[in-house]
Amino acid sequence: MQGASQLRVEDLLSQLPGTLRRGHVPEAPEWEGEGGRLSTGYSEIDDLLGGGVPRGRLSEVVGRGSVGTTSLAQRLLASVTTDENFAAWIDVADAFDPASASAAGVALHRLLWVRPPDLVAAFAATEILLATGGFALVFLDTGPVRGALGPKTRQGRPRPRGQAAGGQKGRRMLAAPQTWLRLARAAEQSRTALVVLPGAGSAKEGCLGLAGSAAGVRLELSPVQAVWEGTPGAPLLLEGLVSRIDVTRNRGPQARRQRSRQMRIRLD
Amino acid sequence: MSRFACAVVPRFPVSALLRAEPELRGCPLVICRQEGAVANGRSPGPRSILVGVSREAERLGIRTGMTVAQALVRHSDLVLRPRDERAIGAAREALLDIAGSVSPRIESDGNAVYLDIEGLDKIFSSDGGIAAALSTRAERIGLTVGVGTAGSKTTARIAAGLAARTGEAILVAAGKDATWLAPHPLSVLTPVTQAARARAASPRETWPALQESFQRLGLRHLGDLARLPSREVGSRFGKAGTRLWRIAAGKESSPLLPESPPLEFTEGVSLEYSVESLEALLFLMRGLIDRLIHRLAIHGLSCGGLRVGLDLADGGHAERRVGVLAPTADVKALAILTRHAIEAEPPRAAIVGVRAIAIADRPRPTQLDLFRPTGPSPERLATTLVRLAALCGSERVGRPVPPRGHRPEAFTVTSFDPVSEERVRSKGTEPEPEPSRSGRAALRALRPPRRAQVFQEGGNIAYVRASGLGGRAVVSGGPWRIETEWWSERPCRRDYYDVQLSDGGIYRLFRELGGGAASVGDQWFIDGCYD
Repeated sequence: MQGASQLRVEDLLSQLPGTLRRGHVPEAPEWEGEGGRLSTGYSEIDDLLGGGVPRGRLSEVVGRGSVGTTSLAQRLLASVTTDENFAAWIDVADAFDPASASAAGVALHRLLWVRPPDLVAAFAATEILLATGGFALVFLDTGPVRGALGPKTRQGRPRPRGQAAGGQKGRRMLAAPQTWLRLARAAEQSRTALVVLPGAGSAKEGCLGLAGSAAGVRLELSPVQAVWEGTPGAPLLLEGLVSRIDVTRNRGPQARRQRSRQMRIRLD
Repeated sequence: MSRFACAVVPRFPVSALLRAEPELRGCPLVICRQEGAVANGRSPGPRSILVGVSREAERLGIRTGMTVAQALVRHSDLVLRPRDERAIGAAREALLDIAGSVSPRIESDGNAVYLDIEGLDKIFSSDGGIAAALSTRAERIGLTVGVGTAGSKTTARIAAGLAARTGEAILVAAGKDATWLAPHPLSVLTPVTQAARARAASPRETWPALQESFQRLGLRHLGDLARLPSREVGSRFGKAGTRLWRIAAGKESSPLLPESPPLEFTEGVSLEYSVESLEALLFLMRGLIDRLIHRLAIHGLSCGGLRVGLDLADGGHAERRVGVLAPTADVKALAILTRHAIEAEPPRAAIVGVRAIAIADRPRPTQLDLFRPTGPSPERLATTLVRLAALCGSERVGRPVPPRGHRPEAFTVTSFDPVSEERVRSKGTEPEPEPSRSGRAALRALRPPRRAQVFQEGGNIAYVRASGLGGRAVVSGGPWRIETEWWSERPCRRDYYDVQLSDGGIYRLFRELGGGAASVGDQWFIDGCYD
């Protein structure tokens, strides 16, 4: 009797579709988080990223000074806050300019601006905000991280030697992968898009990013040109910045093949 | 028919002190009167009379009324504490808070509180539910209570006194007061008569004299007294005797004299030693804040700020205010804020007493919207704001407000209260901002503006040097003059330039122009970098 039952089970198993047979591990669709992606306000960049900056992930926007990282961040902020979402800006360098943000269309009443005194407090504030939940977007502007590069990582990538404010402990935290992994996990749990802006020490020095493999998305901006306009005899007007954007990391199912695009940021 | 509940805190001075200093639990603790104290005015002297004895001390043969010297002869390792009026006051207020959270009609009576529980069965289902609620809430704020319910205040008080000994609530069935009282000895009336004496309703020696007279007549139990004719008891023992007869017969019907729970939430403790270190003081403060938060929570309130009073060893008094960005119930955050407030202005002498007054505030309400994204929960946001303020400073957390005048660097930070803001906006006509269609180059501000050296050639900027940056000017635009606040003591008269340097950076520079009484001469500053 037992042998007959066994045969019957084998018979039924053989009739199952291939994806349900023994030994087959179905691939789980990658979770994009509730709300999916947040539009950056630039359709070209959204297209590059497969819809925008992902919620529940850590993203990085890196580049040397005067390349447009802050402008891109403020455009993203404007897009998120005008969609009635709440956002926070953790500003170690105390460099956030409310007038620029207001001009970019940021709904400032939905923005919580935190100016921690050092990096240690900044990381603590980020964790507190992520644990609170309800914020669609949290920016962590680490302030000047000089481009003087430290020892290379195992993957051969140079790692920035953190020289931002915050003393020895802050510098250690900045360079420690576990700091970023913890923040990435917190962002995932709160379904918040955490965007890190590793500020360059000066326009000459660049920064290759801090979060390493913890970053789900990394955008690298490089300068193309600054556009000045004017007529002879009159002062020149800074018309805008033109930058090239490279998506050097984009984990997720909707990543596109095209990985770079030029962005023009106009100054009205 | 009326129903009353009574909650009694046994050994009140001891319980109040244990609530303030929970680390003394399990110790043979005795409380002394302040009279006879020794030189420093805080430690009890040998002739101080004991007014409170813990259960552990009682097991060692220590009784109230003994002197400290007599008690120490029985057991040398007693923990002696003077009667702490501040802790007792706080415990009394806490008891009222608990009662007020159960019934709107309450009356305080020393170490007991009466509640009118008529009609409360719709909320608590039964007298047992009320008793359980009182006991649980009292435990939460560090008090142990005995609870009794009955048809009269006095019967409830007697039941609560007995319940405090056994640890189980006593619920006297409706209309059965006399039946329940009958088998109990006359001595159960002692707390009732003490309370009456405290209110000066009867002469001071009445109860011991009456008790002796009753015993001479062979009356042992309340039932014996109730069986006597009331008229005869009145003619023989007067008004006090009649009152006792009415209690024994279950006919006592004194009304409740309602009072309001305290509007102010105060916790305090007097120290028998001077505290000089901040850490030790914060340890005490944390306990006070914890108890305040529990009391506020009983009423569904949060803490909207603290007033901290410090009694100093030199006889002075200092007060500190602890502000919070939003009502909170986060003890840790409040303790950190208190630390900042005390550190900012340290007291001039050691501390011998601490008092904390909580400013009660309602937690932020919220109404979820079907058509809007869910924001942070108001309670969690309030706690977050307090914690961030403790971490970064309250002036460094909030909502940015762009400059209203013409000074480009001016800005303000206001409190981040999205719920109120949305409510105001939904009523007003202020339009929602729209994202800029074209990208705008944002400015990264340099605060404060960085002093720069600028070299000019033929009236044009040729080279810029400042701390951390410098280079040849590749392109420059400007000047754009700003003249504002000329009417004030700090007039602003500047020429602004946008300069692209050879290092690739595009900076905003300004030249502070001389002129006016407050002239500083021509100075160059960099106040931002376009990025």
